[in-house]
Amino acid sequence: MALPDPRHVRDIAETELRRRWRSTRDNRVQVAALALVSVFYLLAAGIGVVGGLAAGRALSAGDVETPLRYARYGAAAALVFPAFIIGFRTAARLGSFDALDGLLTTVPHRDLAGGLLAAEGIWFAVSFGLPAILAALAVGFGAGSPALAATVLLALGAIALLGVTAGFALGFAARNVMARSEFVARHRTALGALLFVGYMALVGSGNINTVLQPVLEAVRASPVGWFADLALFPADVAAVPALAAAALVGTPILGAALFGASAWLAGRYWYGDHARGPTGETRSRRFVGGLDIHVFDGLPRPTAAVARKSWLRAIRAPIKLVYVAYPLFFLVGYLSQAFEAGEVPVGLPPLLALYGAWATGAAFTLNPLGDEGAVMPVTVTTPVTGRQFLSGLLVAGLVVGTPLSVLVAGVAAALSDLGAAAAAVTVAVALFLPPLAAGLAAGAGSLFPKFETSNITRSREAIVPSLYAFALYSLVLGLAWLPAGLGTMAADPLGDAIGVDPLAVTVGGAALTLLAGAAVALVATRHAVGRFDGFRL
Amino acid sequence: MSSQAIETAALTKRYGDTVAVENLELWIPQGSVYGFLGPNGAGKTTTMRMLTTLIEPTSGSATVAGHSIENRNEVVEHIGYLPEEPPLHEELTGREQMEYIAGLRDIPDDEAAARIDDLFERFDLDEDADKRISAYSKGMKQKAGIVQAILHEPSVVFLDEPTSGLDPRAARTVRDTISSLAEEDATVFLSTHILPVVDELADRVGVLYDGSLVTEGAPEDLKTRAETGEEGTLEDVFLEVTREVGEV
Repeated sequence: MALPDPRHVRDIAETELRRRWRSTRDNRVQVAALALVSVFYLLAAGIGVVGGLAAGRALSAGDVETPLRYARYGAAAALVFPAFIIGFRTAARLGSFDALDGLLTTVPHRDLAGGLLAAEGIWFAVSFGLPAILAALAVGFGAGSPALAATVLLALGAIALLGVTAGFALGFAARNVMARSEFVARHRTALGALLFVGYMALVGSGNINTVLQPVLEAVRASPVGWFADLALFPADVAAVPALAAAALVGTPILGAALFGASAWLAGRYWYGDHARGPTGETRSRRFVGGLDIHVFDGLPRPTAAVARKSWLRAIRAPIKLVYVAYPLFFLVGYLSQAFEAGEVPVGLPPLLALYGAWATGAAFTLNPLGDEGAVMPVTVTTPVTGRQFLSGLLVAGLVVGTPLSVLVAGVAAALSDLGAAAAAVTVAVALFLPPLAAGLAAGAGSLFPKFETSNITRSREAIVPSLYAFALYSLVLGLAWLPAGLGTMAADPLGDAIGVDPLAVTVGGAALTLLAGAAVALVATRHAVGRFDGFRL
Repeated sequence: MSSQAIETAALTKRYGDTVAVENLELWIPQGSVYGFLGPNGAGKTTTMRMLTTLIEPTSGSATVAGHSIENRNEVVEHIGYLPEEPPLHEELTGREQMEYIAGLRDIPDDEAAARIDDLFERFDLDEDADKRISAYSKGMKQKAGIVQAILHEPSVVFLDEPTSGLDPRAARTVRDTISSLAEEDATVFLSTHILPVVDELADRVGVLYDGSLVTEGAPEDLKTRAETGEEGTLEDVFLEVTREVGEV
């Protein structure tokens, strides 16, 4: 295979990095995230230095029994980490980047693959290089051996190079599977959801190591472990010179082979015919002939049309609603606790009632104007009124959200130690809060509409509610829920403190929540209707 | 009530110091096709947006289908609009998109289904009606956008570049549709850069330049009025008028 043209590789890498930097710089949220990450970056560098010094000292003092064994695990981790990161980035986004057609008709595809790989390598080095370099130097300093610092650096650099290239190849391999498999193309959303849920379950249950451990063990036992011999060659740890030499010599050979595989896989992906996901809906599967006749019967036609459209769009592109699952991250602790202990904490049912209401409002009504996207000019030039339009969005969410909210909070309340009265109040909140939340969401979304698309995954853009609407809605709903939540979770201490029966605290809290919720929902809904009726581009 | 389908009086739109449309005076009778020409940035889309109630004028007034554009509820009952980018939800099928718009316009289901079938057949979309719009080509999306604009049989139709991205057969269908709309007494306000389309279809042509209407008339009159002395094409007229005004 011919080698890529180094000038093309340099130009493509440089342009790609410049483009990414400008895109990050122009996005305030990304700049803020970068600032936050920088703090952790400095923290990681500090930990690397302290850890490196300690490891170097322990190594020279002979305090570690099997240093080579640990170093081989380290080498395995140093390969798996960049391979995973770069593999994910390549599979998710890099495989089909902007201006692809233009570049593929300008330079050979191996030059493009080389340029993108170089950009990824530089990105990885900038992102993780400094802590690694400092840690390597600290190991040498701690051991009092400059030669050890040099070999650790050399081994880390070589292994990271191989890890990045292997990840690049694996990412394109995954891209090919996604692009060519009819099964994957057809069930892409379900498979993605399955992976997400599986990952969350592993993280939430603290079992991620059960998956990682065998991978690291296998990599450690492979020739990757030889890099440990290279890294610790100057130390007195019985490193095998032949293995160290093999690692050194093998790096460019394996690197070239991995790049060759990457370029081949990239070419197969870029020039190949891709399987297509579902594009058609037979009439018999459409809502018109089935569900909506029963669900939206009796509604004015424009309202039913809006509700049906909202369902269809959500079902066909559920990834757009992924943000509705975000608060579940906060409930993971509670849920793990419930599973592990086999009992439901008393705080969980009221929180589930709050989440049910929040999700009901967030799913369809948190960006009522912006979510219409390019269709908005036509929607507002039909005779549909703001009241009809908003009603359609509200109904779309409530038909699903309210029963689910009642069911989940009700079952949790029944299984918890909440008394019967508190459980009934929780169910009442789960029943009556969702419509109020939906109205509140419509108001927040109309106050801060968002018409521009955002990246919801690395490869998918969609219009999602604005952060301001998200924050305002969550804050106001959370405040409105507080009396009911506290009245249920802390009825006894609150009752003692104010000298009333705990049941009165629970009922009073729920009543206060529903009254406050109704008041803000009324104002918010009126605002949303007004914004729709008076909408101008 | 005005007797004209579209009538504007000193219609003006400013964005800060920038004048997008200035003192626009239009009288467009019912049942006619009005070709609205102008270079990029002349103010054509801004004019269409004012007439469709999507933006408010800074000053002046206008009526569409006899109703002031200040009264959106009245105006929207009578208009259909195709913006430059076809306004479609990619997740829906073509038929579902039309059913959505028909629902918003409160057209009874049976009536809507019959019109959708008829228009999809006319625009050669019947075999793709139950495919998702995300799988449509640019031309198919454009045709779906036109179907959507005329689904409710409006009396005034605003079409912004309706033949953009269409193959010759589809472009022919659009031209035939515009002609038949006019024959059925609808008014078509047609903005396009494809001058032969305007030449073929328009009863009157207006040329907008820098927000002002610089010339107006029947295509034949404009062509003979061209300073070439001989009968030129509409393209000659367009280039001559916009060059003259640009020099001034």
